[in-house]
Amino acid sequence: MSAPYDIKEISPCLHELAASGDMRVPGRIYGDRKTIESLVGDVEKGKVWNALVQIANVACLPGIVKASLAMADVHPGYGFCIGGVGAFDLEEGVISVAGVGFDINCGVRTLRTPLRKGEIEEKKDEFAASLFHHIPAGLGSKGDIRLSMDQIDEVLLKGARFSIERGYGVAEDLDYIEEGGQIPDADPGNVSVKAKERQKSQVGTLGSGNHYIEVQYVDKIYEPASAGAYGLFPGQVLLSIHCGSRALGHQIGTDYLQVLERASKKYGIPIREKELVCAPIRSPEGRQYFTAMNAGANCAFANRQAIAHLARKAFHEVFGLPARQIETLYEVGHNMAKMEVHEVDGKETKLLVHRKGSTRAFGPGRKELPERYRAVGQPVLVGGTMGTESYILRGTEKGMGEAFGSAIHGAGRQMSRQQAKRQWRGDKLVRELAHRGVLIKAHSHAGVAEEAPGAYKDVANVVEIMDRAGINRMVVRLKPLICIKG
Amino acid sequence: MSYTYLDHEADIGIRCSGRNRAEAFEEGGRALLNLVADPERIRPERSFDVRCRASGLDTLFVEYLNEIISLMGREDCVFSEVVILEIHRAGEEFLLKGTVRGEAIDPARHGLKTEIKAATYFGLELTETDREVTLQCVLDI
Repeated sequence: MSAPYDIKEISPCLHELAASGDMRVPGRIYGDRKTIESLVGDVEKGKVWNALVQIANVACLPGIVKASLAMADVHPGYGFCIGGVGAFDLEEGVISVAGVGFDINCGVRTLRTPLRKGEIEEKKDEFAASLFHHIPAGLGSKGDIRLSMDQIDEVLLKGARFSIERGYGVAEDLDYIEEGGQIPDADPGNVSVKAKERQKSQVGTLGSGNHYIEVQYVDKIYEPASAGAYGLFPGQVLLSIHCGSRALGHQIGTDYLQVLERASKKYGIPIREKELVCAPIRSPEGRQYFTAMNAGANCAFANRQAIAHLARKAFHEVFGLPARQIETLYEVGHNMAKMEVHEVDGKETKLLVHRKGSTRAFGPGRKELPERYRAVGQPVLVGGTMGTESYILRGTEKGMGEAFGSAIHGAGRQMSRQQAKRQWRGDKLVRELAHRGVLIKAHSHAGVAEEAPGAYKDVANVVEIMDRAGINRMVVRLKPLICIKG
Repeated sequence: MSYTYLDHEADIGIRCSGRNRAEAFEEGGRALLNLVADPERIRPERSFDVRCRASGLDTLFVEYLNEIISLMGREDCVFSEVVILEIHRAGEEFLLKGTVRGEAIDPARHGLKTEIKAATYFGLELTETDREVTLQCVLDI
């Protein structure tokens, strides 16, 4: 992409990149002036990897509907930018690995408890040690659930229900997970043996990188009525788990890169960037990837369900709380392509919505939401950077109309991992955060440095942009007490 | 050592070179292994075949890196050595045969660093002259 590129402000928090060249639709970026300056700056500096080009490239894909969207946590990814959303018509449109990512259905589960902040602080070290002990994390870790190949197929079909049937959780959890914790259109037959072999001891493990478990408290309430509907009160302790489909998801992405590369050529789909290989949604290859991706998603559901229950074990061990008092507030995914019905030109239309580093954020009235939350809208669990704050937002009607009911997923990186490691030391960061009352337990100090708050955009700013745009609304702000890093 | 790491906001790129294809691929493999663990601390006790195929040399590089990543997961091993035995064209495809050597993963001993999800097609580049082959791709971590 080279200048001139036509970006105009639609409102202070929404900008449009005009469709030009091969773009079938415009780009729409939720961001303020600084966001746009940063995106344009990357282009002008000649940065090869830049999000603006990725937004434009996605806009060139066949069957894309309305716009190639980017949420306010936008930063360069591969193929799709992180924070990227692309919805496709089922007849003309395509499915792309880049719009999902390798960590299929990476997401966040948040549990709510009857505890208050002070109760955690009295037993902080003990509780952190219990979580660290019960939940395997870090490179090379293994879970307690060891699976045969047949059992892996069961995971890929049943999702969170698999874990519950094995005693990891309660049936009520399923009502508060997107898709009920199980996507029916999943086919383990389209998942390779390699992928299943990689998963055999990984169900119930956290992984590493930016995966974490965080013990939080409700620090500020923006919408009391919405917070009440979500069962939240000031000072309440929550626990959030951020992880995905582990090695199985990674292998599915790897396997289908080649399949979709061949398919792109077979169906004559012009690809502006290699990672955007794709296939028509209705093609055999598109269908294979879709059902494999859903199988991977079910694996992520099963994984988070198992970890949630291990967290309940820790609560019981340290605070004597029974499992039924640790409830699932909600669980979201932020790397997926989902079949959803949206209004397009006044008509209810089924679309395939890719969200890469973007969270679904359905608005009030949607039947997919649990009855308890339906009047308010979907909770959107936004992880902050390590040691800073997190947010629970909600979806809105405006968000449904403009952005297919989508939201940010986190703060968005502004610095590479390499640079972060050069700038910060993990052990020093741990001490600094401890002074601020946040206990970090990590399997790797290098990993901590990579996740330094300064390596990310300001999550408060990113959340406010989405709120000012009216796409999402801030419900509560959470502050961390303990962070277990993978 | 003929590889470097390239900065990328969420991930990391590898750029590697060699006098010929095999050397360049080996350097890329070493770059990958060095991201995962400390090769100096890994005993080359076990050996595994690396076999893959792709329609292009550049995509073969991605397949090869992904096969090493996959092997680590399937065998619960880390590797200290990689050797390319051959890269050749067979019909419309390129085939690669190689070996990696290492041992069962031991978090206490191996200086584990980064979990790599996959090598991607993003930023994929291959340049080939009489004297040098250079490759580049981005890894999702």
